[in-house]
Amino acid sequence: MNNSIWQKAASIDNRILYIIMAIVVAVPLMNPIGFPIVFQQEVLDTVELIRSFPAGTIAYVGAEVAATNAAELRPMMIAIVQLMYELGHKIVIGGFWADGCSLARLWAAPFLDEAGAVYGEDYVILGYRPSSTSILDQARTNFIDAFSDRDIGGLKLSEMPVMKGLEKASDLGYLAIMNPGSPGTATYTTAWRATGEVNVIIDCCTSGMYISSGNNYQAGLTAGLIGGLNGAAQLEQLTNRPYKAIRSMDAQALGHLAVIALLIIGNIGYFQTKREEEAK
Amino acid sequence: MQGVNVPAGITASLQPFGIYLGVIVTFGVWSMLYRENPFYRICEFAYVGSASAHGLVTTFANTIKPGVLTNIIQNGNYWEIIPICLGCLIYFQPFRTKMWIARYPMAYWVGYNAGYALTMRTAMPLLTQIRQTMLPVIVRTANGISLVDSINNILFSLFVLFTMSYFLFSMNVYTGRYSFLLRVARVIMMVAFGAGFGTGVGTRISLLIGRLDFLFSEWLTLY
Repeated sequence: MNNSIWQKAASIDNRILYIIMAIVVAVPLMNPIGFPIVFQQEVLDTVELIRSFPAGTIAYVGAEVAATNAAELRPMMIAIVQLMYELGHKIVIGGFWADGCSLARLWAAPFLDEAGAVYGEDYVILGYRPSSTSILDQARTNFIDAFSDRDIGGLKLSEMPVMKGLEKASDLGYLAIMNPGSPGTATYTTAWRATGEVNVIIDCCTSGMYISSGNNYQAGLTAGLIGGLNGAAQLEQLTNRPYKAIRSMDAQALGHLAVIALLIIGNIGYFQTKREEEAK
Repeated sequence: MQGVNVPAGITASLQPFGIYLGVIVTFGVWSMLYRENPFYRICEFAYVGSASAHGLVTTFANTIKPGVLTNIIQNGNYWEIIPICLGCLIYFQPFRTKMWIARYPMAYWVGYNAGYALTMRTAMPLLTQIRQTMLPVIVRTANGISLVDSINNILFSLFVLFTMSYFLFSMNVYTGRYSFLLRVARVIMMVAFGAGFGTGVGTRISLLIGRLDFLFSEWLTLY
């Protein structure tokens, strides 16, 4: 009897696994359990780093995002621009993913507007540009020309108060780059960090990028690191603005537990079946 | 927010349509998990088509249009007509007898990026990481020697050496009694790949969370 159970466990239909995963993730999303959020030193240090910049600092947010990264990078971007605005930093949002700036307009702009930020005075969205290499290189000497003096809606950048004092990339106080891959933090590191234009880069990466981002952070290439949904949840908690990341953490934690449990069951089933075959 | 091309009223009236479309396409893509089907194919091709169209339109609106209007007409940078002409040469690609012309802009672009990559800016991150692997094996603190940090650094240095030597193909040092070193290196790499796989799984769960959150919060408005 036991043997047949293990044989079945080793060959569960994929579709049943998908249903199990969907239920395990959906239930805590609708009814959060409230697992405690453990703060990582790197996230605490990163928030302190952002807070160390005085009001009026021009911050660049790299909206290197796509719809697929929404669960992780949307709450991260919202929390980080809200923190920037609260601290009185001027926010310049740019991006080299085709959807990046459009999504930043959908995700971040409503929260900034609600907080009282004025478009063109407190923040600006530059709009998508292809070819990150040449544009970031040109922005080292003339930031506005690199973006053809136009924002995402075709308004002139040179007439916006938020762009006052931003003539070249070195005028930026720090960068916070949403990093799901390439273009991402590495693009800005080679373009502006390696050339000495900007020394402070905060890597806001997806969990898939966490290992390489962690290497860069430990090597000192980036000054701050906020990783994945967990990092976004910590950021929300630290800035006292609970949003989607905190709500989603329980779902992610249970999802991981389900994956581990299924891996263990599958492996036991595999070895048990192998043993039975050898015994025969 | 100013500077938005679509009037707010139109955006608001299209929002329910967008949500229902999103729901249909989400279920369409998920239907692939059951089996391959035409509904999934329609959603897949619609995604590829709309992504291409979006990329084309945003590139024209954000780059070509302001580039011509601002840089050339307004600022009088007429020399920028030259790169535009160079870029237009790429459209000779579909014509078999004139295809060679399309290679010029491509050659320029490859050359530009190769030149960019060969500068110090690309080497700097690599050199920084190499420098960071050279850690002290005995970590001294104000209170003496930090045993934990020292062990950590020793293990780190050993793991780097083992992994590097695994790819030493020019001479075979791991034969006979030293062959276990090869296995150790393999285990180290497998642990690293496993960690990478783990974060990959985390990302996939995040994708599911993102879609479910959309369905629950924006479609069903459960929270």
